[in-house]
Amino acid sequence: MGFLRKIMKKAHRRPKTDKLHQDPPNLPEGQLGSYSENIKNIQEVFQGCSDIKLRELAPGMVTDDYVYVVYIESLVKIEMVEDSFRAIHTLSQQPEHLRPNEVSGFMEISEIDSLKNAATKVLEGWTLFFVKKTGKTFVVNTYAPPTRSIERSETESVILGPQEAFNESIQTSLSLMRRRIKSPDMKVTSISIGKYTQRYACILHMEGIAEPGYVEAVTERLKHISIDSVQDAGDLAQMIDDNPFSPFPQFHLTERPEKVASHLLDGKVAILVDGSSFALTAPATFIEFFQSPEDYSNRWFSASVIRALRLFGMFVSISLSALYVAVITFHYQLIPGDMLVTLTESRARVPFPPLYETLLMEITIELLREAGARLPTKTGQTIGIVGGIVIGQAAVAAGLTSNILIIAVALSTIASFITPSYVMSSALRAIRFPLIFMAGLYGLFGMMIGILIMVIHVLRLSSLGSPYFTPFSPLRLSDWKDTFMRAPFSWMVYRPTTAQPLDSQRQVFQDEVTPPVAPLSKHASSDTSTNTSTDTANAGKNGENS
Amino acid sequence: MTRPTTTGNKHAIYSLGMWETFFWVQTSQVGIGLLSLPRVVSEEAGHSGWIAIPLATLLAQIGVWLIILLMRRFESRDVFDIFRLLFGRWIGNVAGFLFAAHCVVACGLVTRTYIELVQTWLFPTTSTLMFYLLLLVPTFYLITSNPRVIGRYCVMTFFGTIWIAMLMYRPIEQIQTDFYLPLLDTTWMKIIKATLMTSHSVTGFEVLLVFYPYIQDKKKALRWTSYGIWFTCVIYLFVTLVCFGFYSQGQLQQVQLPTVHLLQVVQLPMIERVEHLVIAVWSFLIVSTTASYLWAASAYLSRWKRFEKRTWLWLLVPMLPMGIWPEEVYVLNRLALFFGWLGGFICLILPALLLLFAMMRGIKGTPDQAPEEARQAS
Repeated sequence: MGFLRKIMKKAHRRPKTDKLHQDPPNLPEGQLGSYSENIKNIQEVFQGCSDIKLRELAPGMVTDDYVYVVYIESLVKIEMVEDSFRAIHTLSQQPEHLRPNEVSGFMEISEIDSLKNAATKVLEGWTLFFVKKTGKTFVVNTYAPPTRSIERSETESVILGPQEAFNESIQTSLSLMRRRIKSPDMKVTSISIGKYTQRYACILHMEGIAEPGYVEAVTERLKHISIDSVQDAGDLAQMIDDNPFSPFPQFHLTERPEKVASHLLDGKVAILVDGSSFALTAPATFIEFFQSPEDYSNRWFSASVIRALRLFGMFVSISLSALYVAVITFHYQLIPGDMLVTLTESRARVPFPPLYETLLMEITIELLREAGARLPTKTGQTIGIVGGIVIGQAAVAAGLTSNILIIAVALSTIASFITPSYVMSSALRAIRFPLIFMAGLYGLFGMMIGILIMVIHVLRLSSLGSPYFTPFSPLRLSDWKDTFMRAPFSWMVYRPTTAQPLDSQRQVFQDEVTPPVAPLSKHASSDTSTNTSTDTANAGKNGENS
Repeated sequence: MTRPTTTGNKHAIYSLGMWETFFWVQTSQVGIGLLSLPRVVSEEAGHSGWIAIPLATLLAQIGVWLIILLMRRFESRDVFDIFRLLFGRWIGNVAGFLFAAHCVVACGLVTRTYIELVQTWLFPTTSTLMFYLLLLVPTFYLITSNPRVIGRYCVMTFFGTIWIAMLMYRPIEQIQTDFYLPLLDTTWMKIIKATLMTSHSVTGFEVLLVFYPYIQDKKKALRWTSYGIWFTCVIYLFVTLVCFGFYSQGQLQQVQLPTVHLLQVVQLPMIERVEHLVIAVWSFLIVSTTASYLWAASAYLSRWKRFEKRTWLWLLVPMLPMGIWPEEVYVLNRLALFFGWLGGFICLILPALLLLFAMMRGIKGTPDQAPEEARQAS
């Protein structure tokens, strides 16, 4: 690799640039000085940024002395600036030596003394006041940018269960989290990432459940990121995961607050990133990417069937088209006699070897899928028609592919969409191509080699240092309750061992609880207007008495 | 991710749980030998030949017991260290080299036998070298990781291949119970000879000499490794008994690989010739066997600092001729038999000799690291 890098450097000479510096660039150093100096300095800093308002209020009705105000118009609410000015005004009146919090009410006010701090605060949406009379400098939190409202989850839509999703504002996301976990044990620590973007990221964990090692690992990894910009949780995940070269995601990427909440309560660590509607949770395991929040809302039996179907779909989506290639090219003995006739008939007109035929069809389907994803919804419907009828029917009629292949490719594509996690399903779709190549070259043997490499790769992977393939290998039989099936809740007494939770028990065993006697007594049956809470309370008492 | 270098740390970080121990022992035994095992025992001792399998496992049990006794004496040392402690630096290194060479050759032989099978059944015209190189890719990908991953791979191997046993339902339906009777109509000498002939299938757990220090709970090591070999015994017995009931002795001795032939009668509605699929899936087991052998050999190399990382690949060099050289099945079978016996010697006699020597000289292993440090590392 070093050799390659050398060649690349020789071939493409970069223009010489200055050495990279770690700190946020172009922020002024030094202390705040006198009123006029400050104005000069701050004007210099924000020169050319026309969205940053630098205004001086002259003495008049509102104020009795010069006050210099700096704020970013698009980030603040003007009423809040107005309010904050009143507080500042009070601060500069008699009696003197009032502390900022004594006048502020609920507004966040603080006095600052360094120029760098002043500039940073303005960029974060605070309003800066230089007061000439007292020579002091205050910043007030007036950050209220326009945000998207809480909307339905688009990427992980469910039929049952809560529909709300995170959005790009971290405040909204945090509020959604706090609404779900009303406990002081949910700890939130924040950190800013990216030299220019200075993006806030919050690390969430449950104290007393989450293993401190994982929290530490996440914090350390986030601190060590040194890059100009981070735009989304997805690229942040690739900067901090264990194996960035792996095709598989090692962080859950979800926009559903209830999923994050349940992960937190399993002892995982979550990262919320400002400006991204996705949250990251880790340690993740392979099987968890096939769990949908809907599984828990649904009855256990139907959820189990769907879960099993999903895992079957995973195998199909990886291997069906590769299997087609392998079987048609080398191992036609595998096909039963009757079916062989149909297959040969449908393939008789096809001029290509199975490998090319399959690749042609796979690439077409991927093109359709990608085009459908990028196009607006209304145009997207056309894609369905074009893909389904024109290409499907016409390709067979023109003798480009066989019918069976169309079925195989369509089935494997549909099966890949059944995976709830988009990252995982696209990873699985990508893995298909090397497998098809291997199958085309060496049949079942080549396919098996591909699968073995995949299995070994998955076994080598880790997420925050905990094994990726966990309930299967390393074998933890007690965690199998939430893999191929979704066991009834009364069976899932313990938290999954993946995240090594400090407090491993989730609920008490069913037989340890005194079961409430069913309210079939004469009072309950005759009087329907009694509300439920007293009813159950009575029932509990009856149970204890009897 | 830095690879820890000191021995004590390494053992704690990459320690193996009980399931990994169990399946490592089990899958290192089950490999290519199972495919021809029923024929091998039947050739020697007729239809009473299946008795040889529990007998061989009994011997293996003694071997495991001896190995564990030996390894307990030298705490957290593997066989290469023991050689050096017992015989000094030079002779110890040479003995270690011989052990590593045995592992490499056994790996090459297993691979070659499997490729022979693949060529006979699936791809008659593709070159040996190509398959050989293909099969080495997952093997090397596996051994360049750590023993823990190999242990986990062994667990996966079990789940990836155990479904093959379910396919046996068709042959079981056609079993004729007469074929088992009369019991014990041969001499015990013949059964003992058959026992010795199974050594190619039963050996494989000599890797325990190398991976023992990685076992997490050393008190339970004997128990779980024993479970492993007896589980293998159950699998072998099952397959052999099905074969014996399905084929008559005359038929059985005619077929080269009775286990594969047995699956020819299975016809699923979607798949006609299941044995093709089974042969392809068998690579799971082959890779687990070869990887554990090759990893054991590479443990010898990683003793020296300079061989610690990428130079595992040097092991490829002595393996290559071994993989391609035997052109004929006859030569291959003779070699397999010979190395099976050698494996039997290494599994049973070698630990006994080493143990005896160590007891006579009064040499004991010293834990090379304080227990607190080891605990911190984990």
